[in-house]
Amino acid sequence: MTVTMTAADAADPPDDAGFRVVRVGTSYEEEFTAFMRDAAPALARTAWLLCGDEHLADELVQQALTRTFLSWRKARERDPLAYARRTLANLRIDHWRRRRREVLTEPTALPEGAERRSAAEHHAERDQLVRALATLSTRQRRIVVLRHLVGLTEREVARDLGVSLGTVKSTASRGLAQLRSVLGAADDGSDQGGAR
Amino acid sequence: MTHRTNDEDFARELRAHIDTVGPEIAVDLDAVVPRARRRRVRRVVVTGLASVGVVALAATWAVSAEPWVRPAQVQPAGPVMATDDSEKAEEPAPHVSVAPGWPEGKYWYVESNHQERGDDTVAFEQSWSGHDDPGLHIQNQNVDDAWAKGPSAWGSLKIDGEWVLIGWDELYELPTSAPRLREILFDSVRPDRGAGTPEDKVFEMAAELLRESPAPPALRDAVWQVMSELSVTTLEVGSDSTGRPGEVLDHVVDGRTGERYVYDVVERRLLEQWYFDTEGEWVGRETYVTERTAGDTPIEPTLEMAGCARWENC
Repeated sequence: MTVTMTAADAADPPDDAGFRVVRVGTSYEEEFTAFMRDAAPALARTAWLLCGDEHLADELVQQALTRTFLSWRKARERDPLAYARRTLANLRIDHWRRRRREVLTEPTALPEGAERRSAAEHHAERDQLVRALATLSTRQRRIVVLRHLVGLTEREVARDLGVSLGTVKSTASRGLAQLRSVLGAADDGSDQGGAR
Repeated sequence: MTHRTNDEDFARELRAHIDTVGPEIAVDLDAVVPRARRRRVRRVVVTGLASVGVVALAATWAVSAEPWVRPAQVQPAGPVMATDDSEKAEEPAPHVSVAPGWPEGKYWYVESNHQERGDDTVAFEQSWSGHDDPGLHIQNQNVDDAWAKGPSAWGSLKIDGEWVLIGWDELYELPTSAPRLREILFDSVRPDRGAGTPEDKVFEMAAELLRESPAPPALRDAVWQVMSELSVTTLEVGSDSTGRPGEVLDHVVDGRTGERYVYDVVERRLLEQWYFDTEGEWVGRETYVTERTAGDTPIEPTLEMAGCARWENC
């Protein structure tokens, strides 16, 4: 068995008998890194649904995880994923999006032939979804994404966003109806060959 | 995608649809822990310096008459589009023509009222966009919950084949001819950014140049002209929610108004922005009350408040 003395352990004072306490197991950072690796895909999906942009979603998740790491002792005691998700959902996405200094990247290369057509259809459907989500207000989008697209309970959403249960119920319902209407209209347009 | 009547069924279908069409996002996890470590170090250093320097700073602030003061003490007064605070402090401001704009300002200060449908409260927003310095945003004068942002930018545009980050200075280098500006905006449409048709994307990029922006009036007029000439917009004379007259421009998405902008063609500034749902009901609006240059922010923006590791890409 490997006994490791972590950086945090080094700061622990000697006990009454004069021996320094040595803990066994993974370090603080190792524990967080393992959590981060598991949690990142789900957080990235949530971030993308909230902001509609892959590059921004990447940055938002990094921000949320950075803050989670800084509060890891508190976060790990309960539900670290919930802590990170709550941090993510409460970042001021819209304002930040409007004023961020964009990191430029080249567009992803397009595939060839049939793959290109399939990719284009895929892209169009994704675009339709982003456009539908963009019709919701910031608060509606947060609540709809967490409640219906991430699949949290109404109580969890209320706790994450610091709003009442009633607000979650009414906003989630209205928001979902709107999404259904927008996506339904887009589907009708596609059926008639008139999709944008 | 077929739609069932039950909310839960629809949500379940939607989640499955997202699993299919959602992008694979590779989050750069390698940067997270090092960034957090740096921020922790900075936090410790800042805390230490603050406790050591608090007495000296208090003395300095007392005599400087230009401190990081609380919003209540720096509430801007005077006309819209006034000049810099520091200029006002010295002597009565002479009449300043706004035609050339504000190329030398330090911060662009904007006050707005934000309201969402179904919410009786109106949030009072204050924003300081930095020319070269980090900026700040405060809601309802709650300094404890202020958030910071890097030196401001209003998008990126492809000019003569090169991508250019549009900061304050670049706003003063953009062409004020609507046809040339339109050409640049269309050149800047990227397939992997934004949503909708190229015209929709041009609309968004153009609107970005107007929102909370120190763009010179001539550029604002050109932007407005480009926006109003797109096939996805309609234009008519009207007013904002407070009755201020202006031109009302609707961005039409799938046959419905998705966004509305109200622009004062006399003062040459954006008055209001509205968002609509698919039933034609408004869901939110931002009413711009005041805009002008400012000499300082009421509190110092910090990286901690911004959630960024470096101001350069924050």
